[in-house]
Amino acid sequence: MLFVQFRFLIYFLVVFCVHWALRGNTSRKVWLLASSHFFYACLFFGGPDSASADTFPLWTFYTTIRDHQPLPVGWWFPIVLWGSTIMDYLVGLGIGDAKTEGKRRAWLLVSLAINLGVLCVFKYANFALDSVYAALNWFGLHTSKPVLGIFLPYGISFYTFQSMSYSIDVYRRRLEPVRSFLDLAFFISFFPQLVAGPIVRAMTFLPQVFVTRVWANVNVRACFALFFIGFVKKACISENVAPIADAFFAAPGKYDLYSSFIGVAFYAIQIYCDFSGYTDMAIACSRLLGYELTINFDFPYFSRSITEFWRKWHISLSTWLRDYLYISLGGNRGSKIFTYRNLMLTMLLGGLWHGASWTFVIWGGLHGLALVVHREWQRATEQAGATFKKVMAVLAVPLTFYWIMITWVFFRAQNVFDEKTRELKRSGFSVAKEVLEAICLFQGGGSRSFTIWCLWLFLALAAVHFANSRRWLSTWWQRIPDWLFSALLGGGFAVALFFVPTKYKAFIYFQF
Amino acid sequence: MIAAVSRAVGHAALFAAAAGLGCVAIGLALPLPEVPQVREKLEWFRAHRGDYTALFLGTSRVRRHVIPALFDQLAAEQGIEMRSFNLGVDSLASPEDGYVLDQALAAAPPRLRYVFIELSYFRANFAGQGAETIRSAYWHDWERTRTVWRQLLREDWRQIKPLKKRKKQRWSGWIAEVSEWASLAGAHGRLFLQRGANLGRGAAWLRQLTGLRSPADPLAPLGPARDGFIPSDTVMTGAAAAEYQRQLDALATANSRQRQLDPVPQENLEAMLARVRAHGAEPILFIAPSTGGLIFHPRREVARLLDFSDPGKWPALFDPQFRADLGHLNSAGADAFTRALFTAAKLPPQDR
Repeated sequence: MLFVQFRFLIYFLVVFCVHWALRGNTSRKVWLLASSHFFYACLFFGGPDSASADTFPLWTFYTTIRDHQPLPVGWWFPIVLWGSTIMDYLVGLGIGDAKTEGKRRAWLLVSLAINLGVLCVFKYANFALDSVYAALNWFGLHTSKPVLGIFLPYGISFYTFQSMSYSIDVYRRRLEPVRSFLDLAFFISFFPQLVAGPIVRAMTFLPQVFVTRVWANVNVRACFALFFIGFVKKACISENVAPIADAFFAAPGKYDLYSSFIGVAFYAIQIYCDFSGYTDMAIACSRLLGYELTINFDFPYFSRSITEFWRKWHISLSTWLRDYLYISLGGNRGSKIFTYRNLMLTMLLGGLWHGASWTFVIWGGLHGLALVVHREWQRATEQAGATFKKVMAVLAVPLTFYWIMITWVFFRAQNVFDEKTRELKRSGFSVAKEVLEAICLFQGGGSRSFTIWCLWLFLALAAVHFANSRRWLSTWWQRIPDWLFSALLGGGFAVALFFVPTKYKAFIYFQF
Repeated sequence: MIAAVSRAVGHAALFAAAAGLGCVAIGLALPLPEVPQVREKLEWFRAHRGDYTALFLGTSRVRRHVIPALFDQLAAEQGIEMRSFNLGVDSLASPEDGYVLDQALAAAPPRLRYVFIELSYFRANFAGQGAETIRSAYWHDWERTRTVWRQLLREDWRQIKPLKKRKKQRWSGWIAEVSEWASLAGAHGRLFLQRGANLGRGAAWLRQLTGLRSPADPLAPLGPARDGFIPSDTVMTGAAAAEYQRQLDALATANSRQRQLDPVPQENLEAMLARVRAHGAEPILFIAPSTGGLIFHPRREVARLLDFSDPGKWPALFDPQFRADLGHLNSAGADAFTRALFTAAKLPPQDR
């Protein structure tokens, strides 16, 4: 279920009330673990549209069993989740009890191999086969296209990384192995971050699990404000700009130059508001239950460089890649070329993590290239004059945003398949080519156009976003009386509900 | 602890009250929702409310069967001043038709004398319509939602066979039926909340503002004469014509498909008629010529009823040449029906 849905409100009310009514830490963890798995099941037990349908699929599941129908696709998703959890629990104990460094490393390799192996099979098997098939065809070796009916379990990209962070931190002696299976299972399955992050580190979350949460430490007002902001981002902004981006990317060649920039800019808004909105709501729900999650976004579109962008976008993933991949590859501890190699590898794999498609790899590669170029740029302009630096300070943000927009084209431009035959109708590359011709070469030759209101909408959203980045709007509501805050929040929800569409899309990052 | 819980409940109530008031205030300021045919027709009617003396309300069988220009001409020949408007909307069942009627009457048309209402079926489910569309939600005000709930509670609930009488069926069948009933009742409640919260209204407005949706001709639902009538020159042929003939032959007696309205739809109908009379107009009920489906009659006489459902009494209206498809007349058929409707209405000449 989605955080913006009515059924989630009912679900969370029950979870919240029972959680704080229970006294013991163990009973609370058991309750949250069971609730998290119920949350997870609601995503797929009701059929293919279950994630965004606004019903509890309990009856669907019951009738499926009663009528001896095939179980819904995804019934085995929890088995993968439990398997990963059990495996890393045993690995943690094994590493902790191992007497030699060799045995410790062996346990770690088991965790990495199984977690990455599971991820590769579910996420990349079809991609690998498709790539081999395409390559063979390109060489003139025609063969029948292999089809594997593999479905990607929800959240697998996130919880396998969380599991691996636990094993690696135990191996690096940053964390003691968890003796209670309940604690580890709760850490990995905790519903606010289970399906789309933030990728929580065991080091930061497990200490919270060991201690009984105290209601007095919960800043209720901040939680509600954060949830409301996330709700507005996802349900009001992302859902309303998405049709514009979708219309553009469905036929980019038919739009004029102005609309091309609008289409890509609105996709940039859509993905930011969708993902950061989800994260805000996840963090708010988690805080209301007494647990703190990592922040994931820090106004990334106002970054002055790609380096800064990756310190502010999907922070939990970028820090994970930095700590567990980039540094493991050697980081910047070697020559310049060695460092750049590590940067490129990290970003290419980071792109691949997002999806099994070459467009995602290109997206990662472009960001890696930009990171390399930025380092060289910094080196080259170290001795530049003050005037030059002032000019660059003004241009840095729009230029960085422009580059980010270009990379989003590859992120968004996916293959288009026929709904009935599943044959490829249009490749993502051809879509990306048309879009880039418009926004890079300024060759927008179409006649369709979005209205000037799109530009006003973009500017208005940018202004509000800028005000938030300066914290101009984030302090006044903290000082008003509780009753006034409640009333204003109610009024704010009434306005927000006006902009909410009647049907939602699932969160973009659910597909990863 | 109790004080903290009380405080929390108080703040929650304040939040809910503010949200509710906010939704009501926004709803009052909003124009009609973007419901195809309904919005265009009601906006036209409101803009020209001073012109019309008669209104035709009903389903697609009004939209495609009643020619206002012809009706007005026939009235003029009798010396009756008449200007009518066709407020027929596809699939306009009860209680949605009551809501549309209320919207039309709210415009306070000063010269309205007659409201012709097609007796239609009462729909408590969402057959043929998505349950999440604005079309399903827009008519769910408190009165209509309460009416649907009452119908579900009185009639649909009674049709679920009690558990103790299920000798051969498994108890799970009872649970399934109860669950379906509860799901339907819940869906109507959800639509009431959706309408109250103005869900989807802003998104629709933004789509228009940004150029994502721009209808080629916003007045197309009003028909070429801008009177609400949609002509059709098609004549049914082939398999459709054969099926129609089969249905016609099966109508051995018109009574076999006649049903009385259930009590709740009857009350709903009487409330509609009372509102028409309160406005100073005369309601006239009619049943359109059709070969399929049930024919509903009021449980008691509440207004004049013109029944065109019997092929024996109205053979011309069932002529296959007058059929565009199984359920609708073509333009020639609409001409015949409009004439028959005018003749049967016997409007008094003192309106001269």
